[in-house]
Amino acid sequence: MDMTNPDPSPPQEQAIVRFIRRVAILVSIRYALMFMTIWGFLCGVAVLAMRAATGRPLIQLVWILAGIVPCAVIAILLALKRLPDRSAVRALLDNRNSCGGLLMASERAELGDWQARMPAIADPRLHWRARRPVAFVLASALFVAVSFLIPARSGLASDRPLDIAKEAGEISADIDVLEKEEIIDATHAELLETKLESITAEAKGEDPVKTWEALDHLQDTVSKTAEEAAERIAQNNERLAEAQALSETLADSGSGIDPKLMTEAMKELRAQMEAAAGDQEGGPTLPNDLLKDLKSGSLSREQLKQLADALKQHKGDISKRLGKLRDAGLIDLKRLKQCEKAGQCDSEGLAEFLKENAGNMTVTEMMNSWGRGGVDRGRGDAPMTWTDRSSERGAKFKEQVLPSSLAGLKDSELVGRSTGAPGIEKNGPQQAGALKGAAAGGGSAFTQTVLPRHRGAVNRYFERR
Amino acid sequence: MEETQRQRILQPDELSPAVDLVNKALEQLDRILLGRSDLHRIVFVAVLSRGHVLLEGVPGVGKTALVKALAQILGLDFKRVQFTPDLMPGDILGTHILQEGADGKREMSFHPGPVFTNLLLADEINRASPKTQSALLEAMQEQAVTLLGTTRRLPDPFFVLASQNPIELEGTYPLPEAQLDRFLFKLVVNTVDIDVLDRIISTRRRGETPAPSWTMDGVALKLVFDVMDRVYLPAPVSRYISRMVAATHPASSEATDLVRQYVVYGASPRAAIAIAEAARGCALIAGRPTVGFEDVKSVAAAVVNHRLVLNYKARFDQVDSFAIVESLRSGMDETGLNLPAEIEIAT
Repeated sequence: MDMTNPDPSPPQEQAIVRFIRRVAILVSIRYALMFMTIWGFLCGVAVLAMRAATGRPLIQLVWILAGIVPCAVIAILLALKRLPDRSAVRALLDNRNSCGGLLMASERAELGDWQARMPAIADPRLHWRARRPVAFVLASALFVAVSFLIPARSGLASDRPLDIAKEAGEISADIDVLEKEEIIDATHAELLETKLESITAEAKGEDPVKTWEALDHLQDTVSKTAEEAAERIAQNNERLAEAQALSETLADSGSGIDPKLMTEAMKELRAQMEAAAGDQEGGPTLPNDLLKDLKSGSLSREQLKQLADALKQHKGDISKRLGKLRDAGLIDLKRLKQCEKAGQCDSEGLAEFLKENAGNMTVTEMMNSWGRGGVDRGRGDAPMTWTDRSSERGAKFKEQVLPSSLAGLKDSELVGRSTGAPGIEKNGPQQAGALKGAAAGGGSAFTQTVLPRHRGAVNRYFERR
Repeated sequence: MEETQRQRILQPDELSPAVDLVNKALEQLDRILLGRSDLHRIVFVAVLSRGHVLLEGVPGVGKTALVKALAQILGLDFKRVQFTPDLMPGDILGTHILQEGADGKREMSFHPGPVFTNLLLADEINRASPKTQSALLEAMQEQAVTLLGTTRRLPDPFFVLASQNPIELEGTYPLPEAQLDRFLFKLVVNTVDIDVLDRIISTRRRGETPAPSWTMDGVALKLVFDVMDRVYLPAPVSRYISRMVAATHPASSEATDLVRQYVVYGASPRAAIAIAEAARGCALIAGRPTVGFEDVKSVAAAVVNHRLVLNYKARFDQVDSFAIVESLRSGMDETGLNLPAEIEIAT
């Protein structure tokens, strides 16, 4: 819009130009404030983002202040584009000054004598409600200042380290135990320690889950190593226990044993010892002459006793090792008991078994098939060993008061006892309960009498529940 | 070149004779009918605009007296038709009758009805049947009557000033929208206040109105109409009239809340023409050669009120068309300046 008038303008035309100029200034300021608000918030966000990413703002305050200039330029350009229509301003001034249409008519018509009669044009006052835009600009400036001044560390919680010293210490102690008990070698221990140190160093608040997962994984590795070692110890313990039992049996039997059986037994003993020595857990340290005679299968009675003592002592060492693993919490109580149980062997029972089965099978077969039986221990195909039945002499029944419902039996009299198969009721199991005798279809209850041979199983089931 | 094309508005010396005549006529009216100066001015605006007026009011408030006095002052031919349910179109327009001439030959001759006059008072127009009411349609719009294929011009000027009683609705036929739209103004004539009543009682025996001491002749009336035709309508005012009439439609972007809520159909383009004409008349009475926004505002209610079709919700909420027009007058920016919302012009 052309805001200049080349001709000597009448007062009303000058008033129109003045009004348009004032509106342009106000609109420019309004736009400038709006753009500065946007610019300020954008810069604040950018500064915060850069500080979070690199630790430094990377934008100088000078550049942010320099951005005000283009904001002002764009605001002025926009305001010039959106200037009020001159005709509308003329109408406004006409209406405000009670010109009765004369000022409006002067745009396109010749006023003639009415020009002199036109009232003086007073500039209307413009009122700009600037409180809100100014508040926004101030908020934007404050945001920029805060984005520069806010402390980086306190602002970013993710930089804080994660305290895992306690957990790391526990795992380190476990690794030490494993190394000390020679379950893992020094290299392996060093590897695990290095991994632990790495996790501790990288533990940061920004991703605690990652740290905890790594720590759990390391703990799991250590526990698994201990468990595997305990399993191996249990197997070795069992083997050594059998070897001990065999050596004790042979030592106790002495010359009363069949020479052929003795030879086979020596061979089996040598095989057991070799297997134990070849195992990762190792066997007992034996004197050289004993080892030599063991290999040749010519162990004397004293040597057999010496071997049994060495094995017994070694088993004691194993128990101590297991105790340390248990103390460190690397194996649980159940595993400990399992290992200790594996180290127990009945030498008397073994001697008896060898005597019974001599000639029927080789010593190796006997060692493999010998066992105490039972539901949770021993081989399924092991032959059962029966002893004499226990005597009932001196056994007494514990006296119990009968329940009130059976009080009538107190005066009952035993007329006799007989043995025979229980009778089968032809009518099936007798019904009981509230629906006893109820007809089918009208609602009936089915009751099953628990047979005596099943009662134990039923009781065990409910006790377990 | 551009300067030579610029229209020259009415100069003071051209305007003042017509203004003097109008003021004299209004002075006479005010003298004859007491306490009605506002009504006299708005009716005179309708006369200057050559528009028809529907006067609505209870009996005895001076509707007929006003029309009679106006006819006397303007020196115009005046006829009155009392509209009744059995009134036929021919009773108003005229009819052909078979007449024997001096030579004994019979032929159809036209006997003009009361519509052939300058000022027709259609008293209680809503008592006639729609058929009879419609007989006035062509007369009011075209200023002509067509009977048996022959169109006859009505005298110039031709005004219809109709009256209707708003309280006795039994046996009446409300005017259809097409008929209502032909009235420039619908004016509500209320009773006068106590002081005016006292003056009427003390100065008028039996309610008889005094005869006008001055009347206008045909030449003077033509002069007034010629000046009226030259009253200048500035473009912003014309734009304001257009925006206001458009805003009476609920779908308009400038429609007020009341319009959106209560108006079914807004005003027709004829209403915009009527406002422009009436505003010119208003400016002339005020002695101005140009129309201002205040002229438009002063005639808007009279022009638009009978042209709005309101919904039933308006009736329930007791919102009438005058309230709607008032919302348009106060709610619209006349200039269309469209300043940003934060920038206001101090009052």
